[in-house]
Amino acid sequence: MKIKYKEPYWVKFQWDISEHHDNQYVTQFDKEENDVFKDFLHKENYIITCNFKIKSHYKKDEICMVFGKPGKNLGLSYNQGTKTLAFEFWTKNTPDDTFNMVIFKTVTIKEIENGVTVSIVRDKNKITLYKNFIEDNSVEFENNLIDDYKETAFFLGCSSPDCDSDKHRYYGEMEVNHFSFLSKESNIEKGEDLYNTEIHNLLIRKYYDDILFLYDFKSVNNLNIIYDESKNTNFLEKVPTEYVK
Amino acid sequence: MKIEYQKPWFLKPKLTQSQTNILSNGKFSINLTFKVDKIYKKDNKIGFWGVPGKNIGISYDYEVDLFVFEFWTKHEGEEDKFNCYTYDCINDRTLNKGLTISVVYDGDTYYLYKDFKLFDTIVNSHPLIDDYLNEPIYLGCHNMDSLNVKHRCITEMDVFHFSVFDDAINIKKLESLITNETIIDSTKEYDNLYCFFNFGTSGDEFIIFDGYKDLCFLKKKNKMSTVGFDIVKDKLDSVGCGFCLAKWTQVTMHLHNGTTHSCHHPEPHKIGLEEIVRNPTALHNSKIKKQARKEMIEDKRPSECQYCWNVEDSSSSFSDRTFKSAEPWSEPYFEEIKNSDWRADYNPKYAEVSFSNTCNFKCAYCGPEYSSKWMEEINEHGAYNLSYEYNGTKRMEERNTKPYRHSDDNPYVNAFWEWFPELYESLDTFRITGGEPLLSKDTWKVLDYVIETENPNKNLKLSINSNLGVNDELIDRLIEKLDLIIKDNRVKELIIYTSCDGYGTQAEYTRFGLDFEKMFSNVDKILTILPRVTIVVMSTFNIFSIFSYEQLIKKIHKIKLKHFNTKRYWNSAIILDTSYLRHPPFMSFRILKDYIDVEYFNRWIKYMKFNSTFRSLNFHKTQLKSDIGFSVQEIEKISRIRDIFITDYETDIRLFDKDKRDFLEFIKEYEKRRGMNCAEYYPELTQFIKNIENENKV
Repeated sequence: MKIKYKEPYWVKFQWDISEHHDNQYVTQFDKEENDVFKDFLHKENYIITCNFKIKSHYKKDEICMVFGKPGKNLGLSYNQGTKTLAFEFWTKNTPDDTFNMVIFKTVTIKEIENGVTVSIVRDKNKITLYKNFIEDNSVEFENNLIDDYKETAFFLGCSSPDCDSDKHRYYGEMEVNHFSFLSKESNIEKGEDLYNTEIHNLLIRKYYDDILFLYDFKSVNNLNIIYDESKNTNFLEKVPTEYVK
Repeated sequence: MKIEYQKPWFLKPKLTQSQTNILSNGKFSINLTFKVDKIYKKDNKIGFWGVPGKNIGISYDYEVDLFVFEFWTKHEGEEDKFNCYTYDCINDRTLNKGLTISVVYDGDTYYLYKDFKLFDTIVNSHPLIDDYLNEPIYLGCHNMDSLNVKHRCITEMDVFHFSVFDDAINIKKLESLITNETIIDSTKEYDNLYCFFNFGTSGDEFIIFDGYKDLCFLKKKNKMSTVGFDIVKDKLDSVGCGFCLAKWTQVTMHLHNGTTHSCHHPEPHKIGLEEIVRNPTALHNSKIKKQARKEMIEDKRPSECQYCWNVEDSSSSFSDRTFKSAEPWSEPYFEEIKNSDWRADYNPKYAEVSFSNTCNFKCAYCGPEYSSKWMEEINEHGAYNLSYEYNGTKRMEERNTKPYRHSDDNPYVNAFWEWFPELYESLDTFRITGGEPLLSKDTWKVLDYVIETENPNKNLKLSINSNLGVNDELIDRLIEKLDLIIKDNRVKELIIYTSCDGYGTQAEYTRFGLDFEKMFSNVDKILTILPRVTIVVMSTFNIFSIFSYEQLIKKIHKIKLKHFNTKRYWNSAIILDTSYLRHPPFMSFRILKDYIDVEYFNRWIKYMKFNSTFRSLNFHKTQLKSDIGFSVQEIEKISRIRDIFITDYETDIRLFDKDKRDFLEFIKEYEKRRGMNCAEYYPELTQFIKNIENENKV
């Protein structure tokens, strides 16, 4: 699915689908913020997998974020100037928090243009990056992520849409075909299995209950909400325009 | 626009708008131009517009012959206050002639106008009660769902104009707008406009969108409410405790073995050959059925209708006696049937007929009575030897219900054709079942009759069952015939009922003879060439459905999207109608208790709810592709199956032991006879099969 420039999505809500409004169950009325997303990145084990492509002619900021959180930036960034794809995040420290950045060493511009699958795997205090499920780079860090991230939504197509500085919003047009989060897991083989398993066979996998979200970008309802194939109702919603600067 | 009795309309804000009732905003002007003819059906007190609960609205009370304006207000620290004003300046004659009533409220005073002339002012600055906040404004009643009949205030009426403004508008201005002297878009009052409807004469809409502001829409209360069913049940009970219109209005005729029943709940009974020789309508008006009608009229409950008596005696729910009697093909004939002699013949309005058991499939849960292929297998190999004889022919022989062969001369079919020209004229719904109807010459004869008759019954809802697995020539022939019927507007609605219980090869295992890809390619072909046809996929949900049902649901959703158009009666081109298999019990999904997780069902329901639709009916030009999805009914049917699965948490698993053993025996014999290995088709069942084998030391 194409995410247009300055039309990001956010992972923030869960829907109550027990009742309907005029025969429709998933609307803007029956959602509430899901507390799970406050600290899901602070957990010790998880795998984020994303398949995306950014063509050279797509409209984008100098640095754009495939996904990320606002504030002191966290996310998967693509820097046009340096032509690098990296995962960056801040961890707690005194007196100043520490900035961590780990670059995908083998991902090329061509791959980004044609489509690439990347995974961010956290195993306690180590982040390992995978390209197409093959290890690419890793970084170790001392303390957990900063608490700022507990207050903000998780965006797809930017990192900070309401930031006052337009340079730090990191918008980008992109095509995303897979975006999933597997919690309680650091084994990339499980991540690869999740990526490759046909959706209807997922529920016989042992890790099924640990999939926090898995978006089917082909299933979009009439309010532009994207379907979550996990057992949850953490549907992906387009960020309302009032939150986009 | 005509508002029918008991079918009021209500004003609803669109989903994207605030859902608060506009009258609760503080100031308003509400205008209604209407007429109530003397002969119109109505209650003793009738509401023109109103909000349910503690009422607000305008009405006419025939008991005292006064026009009424009433509303409730809230008062701090006190109880809500009822305000009721009556007027004799409006009477039955005025209503008959037609009038415009405007109620304008500026926050301090209510101004009441008849034909734009003031007839009262009411000073009252107290706010309206909060009860109105979430309730819609109804036209044609006050409180349709009230348990107190007197509070419903239902009427038939003609409505010409209805508008609401969220401010007090000068009456001169209102007059010039409502009489179309001024075009509303160009006025400053447009800013305060909430809705503005000028109605035409057409009465076949179900929803009308406001073309001016598009903030809200008027919707017909097209589903009978609980109260509606209550009314029907009261009417039935006034004749007799067992009175049911379906005994007259509905019939299923199994011509292939000479049996009939009304409705489908009682066991079919054999019709005597001598009866049909004398009277071909005995296919419906058999001696046995007339005896049941007699009992019904004499305040008795026929024993063959035990299904409904069980429901009525064990719960407060309505039984099918009420639901079927409330159908549009039943309810209008109440008086006619009530006053008829039980000995008289009656032409049904809803008829299902099966001409022959000839079928090219032998689905695992079907049998020789409805499938000639099954009959061949049973003749060759005998019944399946389970804990009982599965699909044996002994009972058929005892009851003399063995099917006529297709090539035989069937006197029941002959009687049908003798009766059909008369029957056809009075039918609301006609459905051809089987066997496989496309393999029966009589199906084609029916289609030719509909195509050729000089007096087509244009209100007919025509349905044909088909497995859509017959050869291409027959499918093309079906398309050609239906195309002729549609082009000439010879029926109101055309539905093809097909069947599928799973996806891909898993569906093919159960429905022996099915080529899944071919069937859906035929679905695609029919919906492409015949955009007015609706296809209903009847799914007999069984043990073999579970592991691929998600894919079937998703496939059907894709077809709904692909074949969207605004030409059909129904919203969707294809509808999934899921019911669960009860017989044979060894093929029921219930025997998988403790083996599968409820998450299977949750996933399907979640997907369907995510892709649910605003509407089940087609509202013509207002329909958008984004409105297409699963209807509440489609979702409900699957929710019901999940409920059964959950209820079984409490069931003693040993209850299924016999069925599990039968299941094991069945799949072994099935493999022997048909060469299909269950575990190969359903790897998900491998462990389940092993468990049964271990438990039974096989």
